[in-house]
Amino acid sequence: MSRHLLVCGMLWSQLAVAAWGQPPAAPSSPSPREQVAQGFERGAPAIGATLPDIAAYDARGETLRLSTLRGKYTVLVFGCLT
Amino acid sequence: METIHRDYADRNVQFFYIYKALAHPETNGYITPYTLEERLLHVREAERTLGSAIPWICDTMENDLKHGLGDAPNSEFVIDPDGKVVRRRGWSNPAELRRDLEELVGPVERPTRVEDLQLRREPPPKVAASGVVPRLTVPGRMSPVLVTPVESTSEGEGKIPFYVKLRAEADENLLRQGAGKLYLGFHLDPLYHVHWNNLVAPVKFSIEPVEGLELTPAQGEGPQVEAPADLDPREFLIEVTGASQQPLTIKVDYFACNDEEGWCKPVSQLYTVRLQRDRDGGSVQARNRGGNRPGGPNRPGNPPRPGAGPPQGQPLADGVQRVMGVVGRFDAAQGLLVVRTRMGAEQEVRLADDALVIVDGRRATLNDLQPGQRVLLGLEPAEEGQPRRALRIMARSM
Repeated sequence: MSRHLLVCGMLWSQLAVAAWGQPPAAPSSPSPREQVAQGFERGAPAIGATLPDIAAYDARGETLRLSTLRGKYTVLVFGCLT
Repeated sequence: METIHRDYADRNVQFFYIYKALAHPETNGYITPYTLEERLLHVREAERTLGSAIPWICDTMENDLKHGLGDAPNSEFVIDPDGKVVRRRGWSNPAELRRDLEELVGPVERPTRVEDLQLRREPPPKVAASGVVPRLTVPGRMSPVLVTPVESTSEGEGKIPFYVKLRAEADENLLRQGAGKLYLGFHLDPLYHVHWNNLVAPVKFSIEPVEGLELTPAQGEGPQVEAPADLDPREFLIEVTGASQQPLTIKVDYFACNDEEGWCKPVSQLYTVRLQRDRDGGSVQARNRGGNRPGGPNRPGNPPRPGAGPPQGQPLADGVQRVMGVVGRFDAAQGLLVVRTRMGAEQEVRLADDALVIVDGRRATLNDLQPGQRVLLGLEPAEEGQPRRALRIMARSM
C-alpha cells in the first residue's frame, strides 16, 4: 500500500509541475549596491520636491543651510576620502 | 566632474561636494573621524590631495545630510534656482550630469577635457613604514558597531586628540544572538602624522568586566615589532558569549611619536562600544589581504596609497633620513655616534646639541646612550664631506 502511495505521490508531483510549471525559486538577497540603490529611491527627495533645509557646515566649519543655495542651479555630489 | 565645473561655473551653476561619513574606512589609511574638527581636517585633506576647484560642504557628525538625502555614498542632485530637485541619481555620473546641464542651462561650445585640467594630486602623508605587522584575518561577514570615544589623555598633559581610532565590528551571530566574534582594530589616524613607537612596550588593551558577558580575551597586547616605527593597525578578535545590553568599556594604552613636531608620548584612551550596527560605519575593503593594499575606486576621494614610508636610508619629504641600527661607539666629548646598521655597515653621525633624545620611552640626554642599544635616528640633509647630524634619536635598551 505504501509503495502504491509513493508512486501516486510521484505521479501527482509530475502532473503538478506539468500543469503549473516549476515552483518559484527562493528570492535571492539584493547585492549591497542594489540595497543602496533601493534605499536611495525610497529615501531621497523626489524630483519636483523642495530640497530639505538641512543645516551643515562649510569647509571652514561655519554653519551653512541648504536653503541658502537658492538663486542658481546647484549641483551636489556626495563623496569622501575613501 | 571637474571638467563640468570648469564649463558651467561661470554660467550661474554652483557646484559642491558634500563630505560625508567614510564609505570605506582604512582604505589608504584614512579612518573615521570622531569630531567635527577631525571631519573638517578630512575636508582639507581632500582639498589638498585631489587638487579640486569644487568647494566642499561638510556633513554634521550626526550625518544629517546623508540621512536626509537618501543615504547613498556617491549620489548626485541638481537643484533649480527655486530650490526644487530637478535631477537625482544614486551614483554620480558625470556624462549624464553634463547632459542634464546642457538641457537645463545650455550646451558648451568646446567642452573641457580631463587632460586640459592638469589637476595636481598630492599623496597622503607618509611618516613611517606600513605592511610591517600582518593584518588579522577576520572570519566571515562583520558589521561596524557603535563606538563612542570617551577620553584621550597623556601623562602631564590632560586631554589630547585621539591619535588612535578604534574600529569595532561584530559578526552576525553576535549582533543577532548575543554570542559571536567582536573585532577591535586600533588604527593610527594619518592626519596627525604619528607612528607607533616599537622601542617601548607594545599597545595594550583591556575590557571592563560586564555582568552576564564572557569575553575571551578580555585584555591583550600587540606584537613585539622589530621595526622601531610603523603605521599598521593593532587588531584583536574577541569571543563574546552571554547576554547583556550594557556597553563595553575599552581602555587602550600606547606610545605615539610625531617626528615632525619632535615628540613621543604615552597615551591612554577610553572608548565605549555598543553591540548595535552602525549604519554610518562604512565597509572595509580587502582587510584580509594584509600589507600594502591598493587604493579604492576613483571617486571624489581615493588618492594614492599613503603610509608606506620609504625604505631605510631614503629621505623623507623634508630631506630627513631615517637610519636604524645598534649603538656601536659613542663619544660624548666629540659628539660622535657610530651606529651598526642591519646590513652590517657602520655609520658615523654627529649629534646635534639640541637633538631630541628618547631612551626607553622617556626623554633623555646624550649621556643616556649606551653601546648595544637599538636606535632609530633622524638625520638632517647631508653636507658634502661631513658626517650627518642626528636631530632625533630614539633608543631602547636590550
